[in-house]
Amino acid sequence: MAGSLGSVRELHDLYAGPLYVFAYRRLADQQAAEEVVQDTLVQAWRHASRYDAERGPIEAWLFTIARNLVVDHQRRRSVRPQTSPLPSSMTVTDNEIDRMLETWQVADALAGLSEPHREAILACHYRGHTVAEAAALLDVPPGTVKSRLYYGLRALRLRLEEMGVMA
Amino acid sequence: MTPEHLEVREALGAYVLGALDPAERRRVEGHLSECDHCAAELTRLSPLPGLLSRVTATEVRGELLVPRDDLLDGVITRLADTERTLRTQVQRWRAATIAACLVALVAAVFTVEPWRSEPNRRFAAVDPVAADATDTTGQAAAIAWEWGTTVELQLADLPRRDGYVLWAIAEDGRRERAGTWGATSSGAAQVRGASSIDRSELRRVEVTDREGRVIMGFDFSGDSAKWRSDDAGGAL
Repeated sequence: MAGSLGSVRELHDLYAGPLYVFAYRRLADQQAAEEVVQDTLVQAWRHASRYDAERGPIEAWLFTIARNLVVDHQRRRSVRPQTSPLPSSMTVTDNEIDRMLETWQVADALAGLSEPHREAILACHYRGHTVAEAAALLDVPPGTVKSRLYYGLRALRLRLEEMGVMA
Repeated sequence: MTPEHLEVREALGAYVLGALDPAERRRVEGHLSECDHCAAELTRLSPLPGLLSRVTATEVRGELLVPRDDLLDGVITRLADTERTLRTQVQRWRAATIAACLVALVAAVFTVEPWRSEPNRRFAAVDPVAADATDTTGQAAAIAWEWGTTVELQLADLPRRDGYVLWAIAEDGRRERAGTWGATSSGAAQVRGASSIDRSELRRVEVTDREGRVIMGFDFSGDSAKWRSDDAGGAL
């Protein structure tokens, strides 16, 4: 059993992140998303004998399990039972899986930055502030904002290169 | 390296994110047209804004897209629970009252057909680390599964702590928390934990207090641990 899946740890290390992004973006609930990931990995492992490598990549199989679990969560949440077919956004293409992996890698890399680096990037990239505005907001000189942006982005680039996102 | 070069270099992050005012942007662009090093650095930074836009500010600020560290622990625990349900008959070494009967039964099974259905166990004796752990007696058993290892402890006269944490440590130094339990009035503990570390890679099992101070260890590396033997069976 489960020979073609590798170890549970490998399965977790490779796919827990993208599966989590997938579930969180649909459920907007961290705990529910974590449950989906755990249930997916447990089910995959228990039913490893059903996985057939010739029928498709393991990612597609895992995301199919996860998708069904997300739908279960959504049904439990909704007041009246949902009988309509799945909305098209619930099907997962290979392209989306790649994107989910990349999204998780970016989120993980950002979480690994120091607080000052992340704050500077949040202010200037996500909130669209200029260096001068960010300096006032963070109460540091403009030169410090610039240097935090530069070294923050470099640290981010290094982490993403290590993960294989950036060549 | 001119002062201008260094100043522009540090402004490249702000430049690539579009956060410079127009005057400074022009100054950076003037330098970029003359300096290959800075132009090359800019090229290396240029994919970042697009990648950053994959996640929202709220997601970044709340670290909402990063799952908890102990997600794998939950998976392992549940896989271990499944095995327990499926294989109760060979899995249990339980309360002292039934231990004697069980030992006789298990020993009998081993004598007749060793390892046929029993997941193979390796045993290691307690190795006290904390000064007050020298009176502790007992052993740890490591049972191999496809997904990792379950660890079972049977201990008496544990030094008093608020709580205990069971750790599995791999040959490469990786540590995984395999279980926790609280203090008992008797000082005895029978505990079962699980880890994704493969039994062949399990170097050591440790018990710490909640703050991570090591109380005792169990050495599973090399030949120090025993395959199930009469001694080990008798100690049950």
